[in-house]
Amino acid sequence: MQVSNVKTWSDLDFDEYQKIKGLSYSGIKGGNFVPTPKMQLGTAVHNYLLEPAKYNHNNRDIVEPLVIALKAEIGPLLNHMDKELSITADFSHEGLTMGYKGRMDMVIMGKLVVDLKVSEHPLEKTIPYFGYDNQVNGYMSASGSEVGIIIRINPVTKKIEKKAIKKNISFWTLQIAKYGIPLFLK
Amino acid sequence: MGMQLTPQQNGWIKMAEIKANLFKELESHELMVQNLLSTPGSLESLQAAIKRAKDTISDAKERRLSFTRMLDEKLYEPAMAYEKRMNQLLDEASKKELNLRIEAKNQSIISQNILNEKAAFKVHVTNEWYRIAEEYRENLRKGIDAFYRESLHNKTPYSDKLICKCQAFISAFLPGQMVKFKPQYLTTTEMEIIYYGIEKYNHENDLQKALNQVPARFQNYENDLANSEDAIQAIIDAANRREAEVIKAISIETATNTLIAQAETVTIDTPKVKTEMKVVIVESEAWAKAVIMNFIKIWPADKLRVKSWSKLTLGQMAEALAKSGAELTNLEMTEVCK
Repeated sequence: MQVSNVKTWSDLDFDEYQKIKGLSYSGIKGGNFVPTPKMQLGTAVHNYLLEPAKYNHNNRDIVEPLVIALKAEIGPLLNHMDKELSITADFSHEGLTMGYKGRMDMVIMGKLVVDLKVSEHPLEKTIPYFGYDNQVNGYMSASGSEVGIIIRINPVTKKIEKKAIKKNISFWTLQIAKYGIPLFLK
Repeated sequence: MGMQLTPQQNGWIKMAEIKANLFKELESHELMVQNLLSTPGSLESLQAAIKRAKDTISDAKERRLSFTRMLDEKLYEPAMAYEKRMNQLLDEASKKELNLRIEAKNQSIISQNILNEKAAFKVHVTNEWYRIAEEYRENLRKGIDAFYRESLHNKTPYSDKLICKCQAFISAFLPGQMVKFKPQYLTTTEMEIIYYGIEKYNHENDLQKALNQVPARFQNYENDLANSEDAIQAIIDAANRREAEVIKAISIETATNTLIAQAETVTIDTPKVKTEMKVVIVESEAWAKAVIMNFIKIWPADKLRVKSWSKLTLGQMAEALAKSGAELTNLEMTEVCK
């Protein structure tokens, strides 16, 4: 798979990000649903850790200890990573091309992608169920990173689990075959 | 011809007869008590009737007990003995299972610790080589800078000899030492396998590159001599910026490597062993008082399951106290594995 025309946005609102052209992992999976309280907690943790200005400090008693635990785990690397970076790229394979977009929690372009999950369920179960490895592989391909890591924090126990994601483009080449257009039409 | 009954079958038939007779007797006792207590009369006659009724009830109880005792001995207890023996076997097996589970858990923890330490050592060596290499390269640059600045400061005129001197100066530089890793679980052999599996940093290449760069570095030396003071300051400023970049690069690289190593380490399935705190039971008055005092003080009602408050026992109080997690006075606690 070839990746070209990579563009990034660091200060893009989520609403604006949604307007960008391109297929994201959640777009492919059909992610239009009403956020549950658990999802709202996940968003709050993301906001407080990665975009603190957006956090409205609701459920602070729950959110704050989670963010403290995550900061301790990620360590000094947190300061060196771009946060909530939106990215677009053209994914091409066997004469077809597809516009891709993604929004990475934490990234060092060309090196490392870190995706954060707030969940009570172990990654061993959620990765195959939700296809998080495919999601992270999209980020890895677009950002040119060899390494992808998912960090999960359990909101109840505050325990943290980390899992390295192996590079595997098969999901994305299938999407190109399904949604891509011939390169000469681009 | 009728079927021949065994002595046991005959016994059971007789039992039915005994039961029927007993119930008749108990019924007549009841009637007698009804009769005695329903007759109106004086205080004395009522007191006498109560005494006779009590004797009658006592007699009824004796008769009932002699029958039920026989049932207990011949029926219930022998029947329950099977369960008791089975439960005893189950208890022994459960204890054995718990011990094996604890052993497996401890073994899993050790294996996990070894895996974690292997990963930590691997990343330690990788990071250390990276740090040593970056620092060595930076030291070479700093060495050239220092020599250059010193030459400017001393107004040393440019010559090929100056270049050679600078090269000789930095040739004496050696890379730093690896920070020692203190293993808790890994053997020397295991560490050697990991250590030699990682490419060692070879400083010779970087030294050669730096030596080759020295003549180019001195290309503007004579121009710098023209305003050596400002040139020296500019070199110092550039070196400070560069050094900050190197420190940042080392920090990012080592933190990234550490995070990756942790994420790649396999997590071993550990058998679950639940632990529970219990109050150590001491059969003494002091212990009973301590339980009551602590119970009243803490009042862990949410940890209690009692149908009747009047039947609350000391054992239940102690159990609730242990579950409360509160600090207890004059009571010893113990951890129980489940």
